[in-house]
Parts: sequence; C-alpha cells; structure tokens
Amino acid sequence: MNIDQQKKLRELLDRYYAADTTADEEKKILEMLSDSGLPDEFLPDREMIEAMFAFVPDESFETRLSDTIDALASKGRKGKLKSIILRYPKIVKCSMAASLAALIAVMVITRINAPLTERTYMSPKDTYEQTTMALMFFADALNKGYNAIEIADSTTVDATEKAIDALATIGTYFADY
Amino acid sequence: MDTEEFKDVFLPLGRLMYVEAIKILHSQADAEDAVQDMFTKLWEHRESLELINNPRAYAITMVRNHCLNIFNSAIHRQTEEAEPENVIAAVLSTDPLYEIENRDCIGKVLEIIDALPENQRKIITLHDMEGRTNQEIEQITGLSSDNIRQLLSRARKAIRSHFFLICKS
Repeated sequence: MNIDQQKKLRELLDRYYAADTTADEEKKILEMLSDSGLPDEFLPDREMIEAMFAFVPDESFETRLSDTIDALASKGRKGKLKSIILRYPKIVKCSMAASLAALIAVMVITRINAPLTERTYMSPKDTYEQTTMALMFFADALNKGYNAIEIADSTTVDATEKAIDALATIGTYFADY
Repeated sequence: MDTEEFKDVFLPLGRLMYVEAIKILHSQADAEDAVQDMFTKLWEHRESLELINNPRAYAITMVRNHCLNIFNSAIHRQTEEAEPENVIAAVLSTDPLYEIENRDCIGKVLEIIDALPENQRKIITLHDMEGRTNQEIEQITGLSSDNIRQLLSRARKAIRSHFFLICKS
C-alpha cells in the first residue's frame, strides 16, 4: 500500500469514526483494510472494523433465504402429491379410471363426428389391421396405468405393515412391564 | 400461509435474526447457517404461524434458542474432549485461524457495545447492527439527524479506544 493510499485510508477512517461515511465508502474502507500490504498502524482498525462489519450479513444473504423458501415450497408441492397418492389409493384409482374413460369417450366421439371417408377402409382386412393396432395401443396404455397403480398400492401396504409392526413392538414392550 | 405471504412476513426479519445469532455465535458463517435452519423450521410450521400475534418476537426467540443450543453443545463438547485443539476444531467450522481471531474480535466489540451508555448503544445497534437508515432511526427514537450522527460517532470512537486498549493489554 503506497503513501497516497494510506492517506486516503486514514481520511476515510476519520470520517467513519465521525459517522460521516456513505455505505459505498464503508465498503471501500473494508476493501482497503483487507490489503495484504496494510501497514501495522492500521491493524487494530482492521480487527475492529472487520468485527463491526460481521454484523452485516453477506449481500446475497436475503436472496439465499428467498431461494431456500422457494426450494422448500416446490419440494412441498411434490411431497403433497405423493402423500395424497399414498393416503387415498382408492380415490386415485377411481380418478385415473374416470380420466381414462373420459379420454376414450372423447376419442370415440371425435371419430364418430369425423367425416365418413376418414373412418372408412378399403377392405375388411385393412379394417381388421387398424382395429388390432388400436386395441394393442389401448392395452399397452392400460397396462402402464395398471402397473403405476400396483406400485402405489404395494407402497401403501408396505408402509401400513411397517406401522403395524412398530405398534406391535411397542405393545410387546409395554406388555413386558 | 402461502409462499408469498411467508416471504412478506419473515424475509424482512432475516437481518434481525442474523444479528441475534451472531451475538451468541460470534461467527458470520455460523450465524447465517443458524438463520437458514430457522427459516426451514418456520416453513415447516407455516400452517400454525397464522396463529402467532408477533412473528418478529417469535422468530427472534426461536433463533436465540437455537443458537443457545448450538453454543451449549459446543461447551458440552469442550468439557468432554480433553485436548484443547479438539475443542477449537469442534467449535469452528472453516479456516480456523481466521475464525478464532474474528470470533475474539466480535466478542470484544459486543462486550464494549454492551458497556456503552444507553443512548449510544441504542443508536449503534440500530445503525451498525440492524442496518437501519437514519430516517428509520429518527422515526424510532424521535432524535434529529444531527443527534443521531453525533451519538453514532461517539459510540464508534468509544469502541475504537476500548478495543485498542484491550488489544494492547
């Protein structure tokens, strides 16, 4: 740190102690005090002012708090959906079945309302092939939905069994006494 | 309480919670961690927070208790672990040398602030610790801008002279 910088720092420090500095000037003081070539005469000032500035949280602190809340909020939404699936498997199954039925109904109605030429095939063979393909797609989709329901169901059963086991252990423990 | 409502109520209290935490923990990093932990806890209990009349007092009490627990755990470890190096390692998180010096200085400054005359202590707490503007301090204390600057200056100078004396001794 050269003589001019030292003079500047002394001037800023005098103004700091006179409570006459702006926030930017105070940042500048902190920056100058952290200089590795700081003369010994400024070391007590450095220790004191660094301690005083420790009461000011990092500039990004509030943003980080806000981000934490956002992360917790989005995590909560996913967790809520999962807990609804596990808590009410029958309702979820019924909802899925109703949605599937509605989807099929919409598809059928759309096909019926379509112009006659679009749902007419040239030969019975073409009709048979198209029908087989449609049924295969339908069976595949249904199978996937059914597997998801099975997984949700088995998870619920596992959790219930574990809870029953835990209660039984507690019951045994109290029975021993 | 939804996300926006939660932020509106508790985010402005973050700085106050941080000051409360650093008064006990004497470390910036630990104080920030403690406040983050408390925000997570507050969020988890957000359903019941609507029943609280004074969120400011509630949040500050919460962070104070949490920091006292951290502090007491560190003391407990101190008595359990015979080696002084272990004690320091247990209490400090990163960059031990800097942390030790910085913690000591924060502790000294806090002791000096506590010993200041009431009016100086109030002004330096509001201005340098809670980060309030001169206008806000005028509203809170009813003092004029010149009076506030004078008290702040006296407080800073008193801290400097006491701090330098401690450092010399």
